[in-house]
Amino acid sequence: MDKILLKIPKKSEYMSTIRLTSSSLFNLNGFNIDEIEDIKVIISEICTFFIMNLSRSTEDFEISYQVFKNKIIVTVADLNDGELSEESLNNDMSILIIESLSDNFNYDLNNKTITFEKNKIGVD
Amino acid sequence: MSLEIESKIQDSIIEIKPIGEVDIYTSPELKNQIFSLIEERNTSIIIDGESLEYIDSTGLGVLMSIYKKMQENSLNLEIINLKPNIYKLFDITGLNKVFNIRE
Repeated sequence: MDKILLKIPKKSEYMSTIRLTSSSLFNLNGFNIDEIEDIKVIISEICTFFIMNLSRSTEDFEISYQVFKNKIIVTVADLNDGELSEESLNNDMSILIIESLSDNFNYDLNNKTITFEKNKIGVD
Repeated sequence: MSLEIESKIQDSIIEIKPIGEVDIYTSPELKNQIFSLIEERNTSIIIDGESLEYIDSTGLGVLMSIYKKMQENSLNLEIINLKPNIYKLFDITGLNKVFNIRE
């Protein structure tokens, strides 16, 4: 398993950089175009969720990619202080989209991390 | 890739063509430009998605606010030529049932 870490400022102007980096990594690991389009949406919505619901932005996003033969696990951590409420998860369009497009989606409100998996179709 | 917005008036309808990506960074620009056009012209709008490569939930939120503004002014909003990956988000969020979308 390879692990890649991306530490990037929590600023909306870097959203396209995060999408581009993620698509490049998934493309390198054999995911198809439809799967890569999903990844771009999921990763962007996670970062958007943090920007919209946790206003502090002095610290970075830390995005880790765990690359397996049959899947990639992505964890986005917002390193800023602050609290996320359960309510913010329930009323958010971002979360609806993330849940719909990812294969496995988990969140940890205390540590301000959201993790998702994307499986490679046809590889066990 | 960022966002460019082309617009033209044809048969008293404003055609707006976003080129590129609408996300949390670029969606305020889309909102401001379209709201200005609505204020100036007070006429129906077609949004052409032919060159729209990406949209996120903030972009969908902007489209919703445009839809509400148009409804308040009894004007029509139509969205055309969406790519399959973009339409998928309208489907997931149920907005395909709200907007008048055609191929």
